[in-house]
Amino acid sequence: MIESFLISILGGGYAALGIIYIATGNILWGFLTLTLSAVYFFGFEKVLGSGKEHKASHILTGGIFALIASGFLIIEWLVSLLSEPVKPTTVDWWFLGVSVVAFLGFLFARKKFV
Amino acid sequence: MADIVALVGNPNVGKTSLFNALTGSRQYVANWPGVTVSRKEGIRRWRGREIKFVDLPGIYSLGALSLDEKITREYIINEAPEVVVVVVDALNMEQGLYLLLEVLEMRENVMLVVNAIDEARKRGVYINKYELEKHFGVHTVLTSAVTGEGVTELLDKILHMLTSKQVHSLVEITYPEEVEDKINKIVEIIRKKKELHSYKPRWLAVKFLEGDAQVLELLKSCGIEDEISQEEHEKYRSLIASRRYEYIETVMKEAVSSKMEKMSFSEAIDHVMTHRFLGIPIFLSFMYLAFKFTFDVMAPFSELIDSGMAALGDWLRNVMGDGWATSLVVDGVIGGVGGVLVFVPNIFGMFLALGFMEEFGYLPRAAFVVDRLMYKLKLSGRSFMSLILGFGCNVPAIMSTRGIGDPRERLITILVSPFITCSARLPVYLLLVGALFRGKEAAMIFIIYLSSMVLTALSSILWNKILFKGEPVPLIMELPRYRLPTLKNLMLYVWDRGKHFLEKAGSIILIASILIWILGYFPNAGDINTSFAAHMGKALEPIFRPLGFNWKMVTALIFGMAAKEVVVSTFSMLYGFSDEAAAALHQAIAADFTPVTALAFIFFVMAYIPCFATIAAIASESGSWKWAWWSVLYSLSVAYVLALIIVVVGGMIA
Ligand SMILES: Nc1nc2c(ncn2[C@@H]2O[C@H](COP(=O)(O)OP(=O)(O)OP(=O)(O)O)[C@@H](O)[C@H]2O)c(=O)[nH]1
Ligand SMILES: [Mg+2]
Repeated sequence: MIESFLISILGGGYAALGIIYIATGNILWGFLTLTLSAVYFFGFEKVLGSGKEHKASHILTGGIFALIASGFLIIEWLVSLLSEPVKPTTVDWWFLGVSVVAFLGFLFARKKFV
Repeated sequence: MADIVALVGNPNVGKTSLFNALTGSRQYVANWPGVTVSRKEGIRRWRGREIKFVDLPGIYSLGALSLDEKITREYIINEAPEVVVVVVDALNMEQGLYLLLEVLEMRENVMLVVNAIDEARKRGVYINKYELEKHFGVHTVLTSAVTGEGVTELLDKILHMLTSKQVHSLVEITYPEEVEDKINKIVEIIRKKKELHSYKPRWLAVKFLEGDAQVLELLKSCGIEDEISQEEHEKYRSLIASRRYEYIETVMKEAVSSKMEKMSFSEAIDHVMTHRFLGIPIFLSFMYLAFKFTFDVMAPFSELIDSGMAALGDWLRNVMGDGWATSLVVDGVIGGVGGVLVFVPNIFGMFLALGFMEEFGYLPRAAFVVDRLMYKLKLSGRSFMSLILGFGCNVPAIMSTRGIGDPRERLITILVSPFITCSARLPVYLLLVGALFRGKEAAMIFIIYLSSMVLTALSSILWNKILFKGEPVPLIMELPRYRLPTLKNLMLYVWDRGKHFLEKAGSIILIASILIWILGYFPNAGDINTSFAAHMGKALEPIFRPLGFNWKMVTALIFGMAAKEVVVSTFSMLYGFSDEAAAALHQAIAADFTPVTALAFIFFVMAYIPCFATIAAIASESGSWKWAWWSVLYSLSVAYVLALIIVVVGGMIA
């Protein structure tokens, strides 16, 4: 139940953001965001018998990815302060917002594995 | 004479980490199987006695297959170290204990080390070492090479074995009757042969039954013919193996208690990372992030060094006044070496990203994901893993092909690996991309790297077509556990690699810079257009005219053969001789290149002649200079054709 809910929210959220990134010309970051979305959506696929654990593994991995990607955004801003500061766009803020949820998902999924 | 202690064990169980902890060395450690490819030695004084430790390539069993496995097997057979320490992974003991049984059959004075005990404990796995000692008849120590736990105990136990005269390890497992009968018969025959007295007869007999090629040959040379059919060898082999596993399983039941019933963290992540469809985009994402890190995040630090160098140059010019000495120091040394040093942050960034992937355990996953694609190229994912290492430097990539079992595949991997862009080529790309593709740097670099991989792939198809016919050996590789890299390991990794780059800057790049300066300054005291360098470049210029390269670019390419960074040194001298500030270098370059020629030049540098070190590595690892020369010729032609295509196609578009 929680798994499916998280997957829908996060998969959908990143898909939308990915499309916006591409539409605004940031193609590579868009690709990255869409990959992130795919990580969640493929969690619906039933390969392993135990659907729940399987979904949790996608939430777990997605969370790690989201964390790395957000880390990148933030480091980039910080570092850019040294030379020509880059202003985060609205979409970037949304990305970070969704990533907070992704991280919470990670913490939730973490408990299911040793 | 120091006593010799050899460390053997399965790949990736932490032998080298343990070796480093024991001897204080800093050998290459990474989280994938097959890191160590040659023997490494180190001395440790312990309680007044010198002990020489020998670290060996990982090995699954004593029936050796690939080159690195042979190295280990031959070492323990021929060099007869005083003590052999078999290292096993606490979370994956079966395979390691199998090797232990084989070693026990072969010789005395064996010890068992169960490593990574910290990880086992974290997962709720408990290991009773007394049970292991009882069933295998060997001293056993639980260690963690990361926390240092058990290292003192290990040294003490080793010392004890070295000083006490008694023979250790006496457990022998008995095989089913029909095997034992056969063994006894062969042992009888072997006992009679004097030449074989240095071997344990039982071991030879077992290997003989298993059909081990080397042992068969050895016995044949003593007049013992192999009268057993292939099928029978096969039968004995499986009887012997299953008995060993049976034994191990009983011991494991006694010695290991575990609360593991849930899926492990690694398995959960692998579900996504090695997913059929997701695997590839995830790999590309990782690559993209690595380049973004290398370029965007590190750029301000590069700029810092750049302005530092410029300030230093200006200051020296003021202090020293005009003259050839000033020009030598400022244009030659600071321009040439400093021009390359500017990219140190990027290169360290690159190594940080690579080191993270290696220590995290992602590398073998990437190999696994692309294995199906690689199969179409008649290579396996294992080659891909070697190739990725080439992003750091081609030489270790070529060395690591020793872990590839199939000689045909190994040779092809060696031959194509120079096309993988190593970190030495990065400064060239960065300089040109920075000058001509401002604002799109990370994306451009990403595309360049992808192209270098495509070029490698196409090349391996070609070599396969020309040289060999045959099917690749499918990839069988154990995926290591994911591990969060420790900061210390990561820093050591980055520093060890980065140091090499700095050393190059202080040696070959410095010498090349001074040489270029001399050729650029004389005979007409700084008039670059009539200098020796100009004559040299202009002489070869006609060959490169179709590509749109001027003599300065040609000169840079000539010097770049020593080490590709030197292309950058040459540029900063030839374009910087007029005493303008460093920022002007970009403008001077931008004025001489169009985006199309810049791209053509970049691809030329990507493909043309591997550096001297790589050529030497190709010769030694492929076993003949013939291949090295082929590789030089081939890469030059590819570079030329590639650049020509870019110029022609680019000309049509523009
Ligand atoms: N947590 C933990 N990690 C360890 C320990 N020992 C080694 N490692 C990690 O295990 C991985 C493999 O270590 P290596 O020392 O390269 O293993 P190796 O046996 O020499 O491997 P090959 O040379 O490929 O045969 C590295 O990522 C190490 O950091 C340990 O005791 N605890
Ligand atoms: Mg090793």
